[in-house]
Amino acid sequence: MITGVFTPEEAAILADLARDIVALLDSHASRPDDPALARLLPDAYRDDAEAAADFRRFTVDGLVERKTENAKVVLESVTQFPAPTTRAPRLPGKRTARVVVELDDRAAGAWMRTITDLRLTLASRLGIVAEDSAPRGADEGLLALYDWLAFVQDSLVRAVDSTR
Amino acid sequence: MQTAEQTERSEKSAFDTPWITLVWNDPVNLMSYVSHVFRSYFGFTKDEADRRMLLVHTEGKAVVATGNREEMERHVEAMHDYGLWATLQRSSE
Repeated sequence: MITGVFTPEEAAILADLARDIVALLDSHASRPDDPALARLLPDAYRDDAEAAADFRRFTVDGLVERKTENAKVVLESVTQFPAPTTRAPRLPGKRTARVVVELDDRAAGAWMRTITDLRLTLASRLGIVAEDSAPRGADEGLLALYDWLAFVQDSLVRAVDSTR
Repeated sequence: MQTAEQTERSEKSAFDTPWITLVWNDPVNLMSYVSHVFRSYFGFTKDEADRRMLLVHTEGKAVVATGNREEMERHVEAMHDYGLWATLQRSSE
């Protein structure tokens, strides 16, 4: 089992992101020009449009379904706890609530794939095309989210690798 | 017009040319994740997985499998499951 610890705010963010990507994937058929979807559901042949179209026809629904299921695993993991309330006062010295998720192999795999999908989507929205950095003027909030997810992903990969 | 012998030879070549699966670099995926995928899915040792991951990173792409077309399509599909970008092509291309 892998254990992940998040603040209630982080858990809420992950839940929102998971819901967003489920909605995005659900709409893939009606958004043929969405660059995020193009990266989530890429071509299998670089130089053969017909072969690429054939492959897509046979595989895209399965891929969408599996990615959706993975996102739902993440959503279930982080929403088993009551959502944080903004009314609750932070008393000095009071321990901050933590959301603890326990992941078996299957769930850890779903998390890794979903976080990757989330980062691919964010990168597309941010206009990240080169290794170095996001273009100037990129949304700071999205960028912070993108970087934080890299940290989560890296921790998860290392945790999973350490169990092998 | 080709003779029967010539036709047979070219058909044999087409048949024998193996297909390859390529994984392409992208600015998003973490090196640790790519290496992890290579180990988990292809069963490479850590050293071999890291070597191929670094090839992807420095050369822009790396061959991760060879075989017949159907096998390569399954590998590409699996890579897309993981969020990596992969394509297949004849090894002679």
